[in-house]
Amino acid sequence: MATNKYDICVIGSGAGAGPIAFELSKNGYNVVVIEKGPWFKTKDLSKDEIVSTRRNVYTPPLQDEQHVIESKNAEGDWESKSTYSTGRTFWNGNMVGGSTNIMSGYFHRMKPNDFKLLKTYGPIEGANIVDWPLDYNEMEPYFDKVEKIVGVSGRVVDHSTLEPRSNSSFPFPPLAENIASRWIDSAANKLGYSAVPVPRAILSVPDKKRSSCVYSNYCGSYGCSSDAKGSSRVALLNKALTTGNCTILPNSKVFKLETNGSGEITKSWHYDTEGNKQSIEADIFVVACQAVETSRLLLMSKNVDFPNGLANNGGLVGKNLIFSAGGTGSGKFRYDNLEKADAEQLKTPGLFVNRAIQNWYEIDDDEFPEKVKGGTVDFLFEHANGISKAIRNKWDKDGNLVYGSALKSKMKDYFLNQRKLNFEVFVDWLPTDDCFVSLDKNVVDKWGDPVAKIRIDNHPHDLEVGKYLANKAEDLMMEMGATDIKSSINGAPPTNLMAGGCRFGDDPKTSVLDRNCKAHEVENLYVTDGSFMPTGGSVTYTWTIYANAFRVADAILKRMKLNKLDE
Amino acid sequence: MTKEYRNHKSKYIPNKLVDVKTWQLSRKKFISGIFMASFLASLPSVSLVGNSFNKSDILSENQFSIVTSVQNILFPSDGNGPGAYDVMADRYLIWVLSDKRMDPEEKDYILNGIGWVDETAEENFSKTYNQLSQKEKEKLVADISNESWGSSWLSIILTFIFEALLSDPQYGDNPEEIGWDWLKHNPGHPRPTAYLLYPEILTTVSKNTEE
Repeated sequence: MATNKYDICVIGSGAGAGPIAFELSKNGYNVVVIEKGPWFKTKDLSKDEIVSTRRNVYTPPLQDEQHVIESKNAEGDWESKSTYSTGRTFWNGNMVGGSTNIMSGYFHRMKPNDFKLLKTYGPIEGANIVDWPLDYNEMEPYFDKVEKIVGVSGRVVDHSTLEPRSNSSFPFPPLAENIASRWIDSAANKLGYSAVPVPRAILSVPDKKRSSCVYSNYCGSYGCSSDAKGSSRVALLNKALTTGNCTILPNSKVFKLETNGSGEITKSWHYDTEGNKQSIEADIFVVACQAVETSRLLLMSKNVDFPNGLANNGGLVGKNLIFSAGGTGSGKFRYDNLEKADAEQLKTPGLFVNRAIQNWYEIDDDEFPEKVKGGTVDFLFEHANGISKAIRNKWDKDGNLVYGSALKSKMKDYFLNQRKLNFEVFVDWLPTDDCFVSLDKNVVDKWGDPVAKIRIDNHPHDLEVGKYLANKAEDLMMEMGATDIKSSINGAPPTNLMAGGCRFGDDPKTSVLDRNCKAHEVENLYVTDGSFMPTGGSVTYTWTIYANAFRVADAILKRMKLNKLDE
Repeated sequence: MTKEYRNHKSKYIPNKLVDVKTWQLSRKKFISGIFMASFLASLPSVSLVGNSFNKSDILSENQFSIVTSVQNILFPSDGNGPGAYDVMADRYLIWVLSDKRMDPEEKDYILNGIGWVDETAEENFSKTYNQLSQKEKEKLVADISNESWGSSWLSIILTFIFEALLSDPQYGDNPEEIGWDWLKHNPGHPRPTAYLLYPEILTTVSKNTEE
């Protein structure tokens, strides 16, 4: 049994882990990163749809590792189903660099009011809303740091909800755009909306060893072959490795953190590729396994001092899980309704849409009794995945299977005569008592450990706000001349955009972590994925997770330097 | 034997495939945990002209005959682009079913469905499927598409036809990019090399350690 000693042990390797490994190794500390998935390197990434989206290559087989989802059935009773039985995976990128390898990289900063939702908009019955223990100004330098180090391209335009910025422009110019972006701008102007450019964690120009985007037309769900995408692996871990102070252990599943009886972790335990148990010693442990698995690991790490799980004597680990969600919608543009030149430009693959509307990030409208927090609508083309597009043609509007020559004609029309523009609505997923992680009592993974059970429910307020935003987006689509416009606002959680479960805050009675994301109850445990977020804003979480992990890295560095002075 | 038990036994649909429409739309991955031992080794030779396979232990001649016939009804070579036969969907299905790590429940469902097609032919026409005329076969497929097991089973067979139509020809389907050409589908680049195809990629990356 091998035992190794490091200054910092980071569990997980995605957006919450990369900044820690990068900053600490750069400053001379010995860092080990333990990742349960394999190590896909850039040379291993292609645009193969079978590998990327049709088989479990980036996620584990569900018969080996599953989750149990508890949700309300039609009668309103709680019902548990394993993801193996439903076939709906809750895993994301299980690989070195985590889900950031396969993200789309739509990057939005949180806005100042997102940090003080309770103070600004007041309580909502049934929602556990609390303000963050810090404000936007404390986070801003780290949003800025992510722009430069991870690489964010974009264009700053003044609009009603623009976040305060320490730099007037992005370090990388915006990516090339399709003609549809101009159509959105034009329609928005006519309607009195302001369409804003969407920043992307994708390089538009080369940066040192990283090439710029090659506009392959296959971004989300696929690994990047040019290193333009700002994955934790490419933007941070590869640089950490060059310091000589960073070790990455792929295919290593951590299952327990061991403490010494005095509130400190001494070892992490993981299964290696052969299934043998191995331990790692370190001074500081950083957990960043993505929200659900982070809570699961803490809950699994029970001992005499922490009978309910590590850092869980307050009973808060796993609570107040949230998702970046709202709903989706779409409209179609038929080429025969367009001027030929416009149709040709619309067909151009690879170019981005990169537009959002954020006029209603705060809603002041008679439809609501008072001012409420709104959200974001992002616009994007339907994914280029051919097999997925074909599958969308299998059923008619009445739910009957379409096949034979009728199916082939339908497919041909779908592929050749139109292009679909989608929109995604993001509202705050209000934290409630009915959205949390626990350990399932019956189902275990292939190593015999209990799997995470996730109770999922969303607050009705989320849907009201989502519908309001979807209506605005549908109006924009209509103004653009789209046809077959539709939207679906629902409480389905996007499993790649999760946060909460280990809230941070100043009061140990109401939070798991302190303002530096150190566990109140454990002296050398930090959590740096999205788990810390008590509320998530009405945007995707990744930029915030990156930024906060850089902030925590500074706190750990400060602590390490003070410890050295004390020695 | 109760009716409930008989139904369960004779037409059991795995839970994950019952609500197949939702499943198709919401699930990123079609199959859990497929890992084929060796694609190339498991399919020694294929003759498209004679449609002769060394199918080994995957499917009997009768099963193969039924499922390929159904494939050609679902996605015919009708002059409007390639059909299932043209994109080698038969070979592709063997490739899928030859996977030793495929979820056994899903694999059983696909195999059982072939048997149920034959059973339904007996029930509706008092003939085996292979004894039916082409028109009768088409009528049978129309009939079973209205049954819950039938619509989900046919839907799955269709999905594998789509994979054969639109995946990289290096998988042994979509010959000369015939499917991509028909739908003017623009595959992404870079395309996979042999070591990056599924399932070889899993072996390829398992060897990766420190830079």
